Amino acid sequence: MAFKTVEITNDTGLHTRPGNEFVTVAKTFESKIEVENEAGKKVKGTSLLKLLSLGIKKGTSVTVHAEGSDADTAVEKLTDLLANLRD
Amino acid sequence: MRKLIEGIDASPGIVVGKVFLYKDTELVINKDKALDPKAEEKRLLDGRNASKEQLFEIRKMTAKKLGEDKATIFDGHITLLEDEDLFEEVVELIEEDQISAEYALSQGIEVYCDMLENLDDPYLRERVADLRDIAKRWLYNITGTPIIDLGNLPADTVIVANDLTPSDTAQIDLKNVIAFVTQIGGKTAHSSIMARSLELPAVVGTKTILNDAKDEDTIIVDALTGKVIINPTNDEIVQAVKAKEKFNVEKEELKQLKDKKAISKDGITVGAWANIGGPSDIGGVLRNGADGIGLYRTEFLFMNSDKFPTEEEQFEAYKEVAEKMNGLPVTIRTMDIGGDKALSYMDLPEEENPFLGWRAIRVCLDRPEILKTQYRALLRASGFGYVKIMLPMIISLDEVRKSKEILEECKAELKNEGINFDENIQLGIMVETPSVAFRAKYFAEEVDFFSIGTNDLTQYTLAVDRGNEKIADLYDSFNPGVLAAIQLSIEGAHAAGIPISMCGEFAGDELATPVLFGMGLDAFSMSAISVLGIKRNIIHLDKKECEALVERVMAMATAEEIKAEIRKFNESL
Repeated sequence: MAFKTVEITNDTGLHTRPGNEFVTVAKTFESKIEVENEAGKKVKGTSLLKLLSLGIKKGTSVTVHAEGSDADTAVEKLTDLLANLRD
Repeated sequence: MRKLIEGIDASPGIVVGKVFLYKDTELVINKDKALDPKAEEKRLLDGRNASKEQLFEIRKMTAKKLGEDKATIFDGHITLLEDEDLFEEVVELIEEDQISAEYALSQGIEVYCDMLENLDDPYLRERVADLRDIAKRWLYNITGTPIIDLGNLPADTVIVANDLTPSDTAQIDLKNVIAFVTQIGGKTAHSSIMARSLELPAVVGTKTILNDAKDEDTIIVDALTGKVIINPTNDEIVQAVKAKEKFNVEKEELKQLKDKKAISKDGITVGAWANIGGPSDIGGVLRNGADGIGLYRTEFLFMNSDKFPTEEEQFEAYKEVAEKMNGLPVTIRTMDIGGDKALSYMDLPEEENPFLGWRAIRVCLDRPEILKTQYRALLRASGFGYVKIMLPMIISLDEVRKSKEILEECKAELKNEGINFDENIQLGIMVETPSVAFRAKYFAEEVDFFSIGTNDLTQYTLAVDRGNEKIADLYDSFNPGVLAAIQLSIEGAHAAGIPISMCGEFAGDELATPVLFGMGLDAFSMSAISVLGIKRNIIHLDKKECEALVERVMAMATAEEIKAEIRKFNESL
């Protein structure tokens, strides 16, 4: 079990296009991925719909949780992706 | 019947064409119960596969028309279409309630649409359009409802629709479609963004167009002003065609000016600067060839937040702008809250006359900790570019001196902390109250620069509430009283040897350019889209001639006479 929190810095937040990037990468891991927003709402990291429903916008923090054999790598890669989203 | 409709200009241009009403064939949802779940699941899956194939096609077309970058949005759409959670939830509905695939899907998707529509971030909220786009396609494919082909329309078509989805926009055949008009939507909606990258004129948010327009109606879309005319008069058509030609010629001319400076015929250079609300506006600033930022409104940092933004948050925003402008001047205005701009987390009392009340610098001097945090962030950012600080709503030198004292305190603090900043950072003020205009010379002796805020200066000089529609015609910056206030400010600044710019709407008003230039204004700061137009104006002007024009107009009695005189002057160029 691993987790890490990062802040979203791109202006438009996690919308459809960057969200798709996230889901695509999340699906490459064996671990079960979950994403949690500031309000504590936690959803599956491989469902773009659920991710969009978190309303992850600029200036808010997001936590990625992973459970499985590659949990550490998954958390590192995915939080890095979130911290460097393009608009 | 002729009808004029006003909307939002989403993508500039002006055209005359024929209406194509884009109304969907009505979707019939089978609401019967006790259907065979297995058969319905198959319809759901078949519909999804068909939709996926279509989306792949659209993605390919978009990549060809708009480039790979714009096409990636449809990768996101395909991912949403194939969302496992959604599929499972819909299958569950089909099995439990024994309802049709389309009925289950429409219910399943609505849950997510609701969630997105309730988000507080407007940009993310608008992404609900993506979801509805996908759901619609899927539902149409399940039920075998024909999807209208926007790729095959007659020449000179203007598409009129409730809204256009991203996939609609991507399919538009640009050879034949010359504009679109929608009933709903705003400037940041996907279709608006796409229209701008396609350079397809568009007016959105017209509210009633679907009731007013019929297929084949002649329509003028003036996406320069946001006006749409259905069944226009012949006269209006002639005018629109003229305006269109003028717009196209100008667009080409203006593109040439991007990398040129605003230098008059007799060799005087003025600044052509842009106003911004935050780092995300820099792209437009650079695209339009502005050579500085004359006004960075920091209010948005304060308004788009549920608490006062921290020094760090402010620093990051200011630094980003300073860095991206790469050594060009960036004039950052301290918090201008109050008046019509309220903060949820700050107890701003309801006031009888908010524009004459507790706002801007008045708030900052009463609550110096707010100003100090902002000053520190600004000073730190000054280590990363050419940052200038500007104070709003000044009426007295006491305010200026007090603000300067606080700035010196902050400088001393940062020095002690060993933080790098521009020790000679310039501090200037907005000229937006008559009291500063009257005494400009005295203020100019104690600050580094002036910037005229014509929106408030006009309102305060004329005692005309700029938000009151009843007296909108009285609000006119060409009123000789306002022009006199501008002239006094410029003379005062120059008497003390400091530069003066203008950052209100008036700076971007093309009719005003010769008068402002003639008065000696050193820089014009405006919306990025106005920068090239003002540059072009300056390039065609001669300072001596403009000075003579100023002398003539300042001897005139009314705004109308003045405007007529300037028009005459422009025609003689």
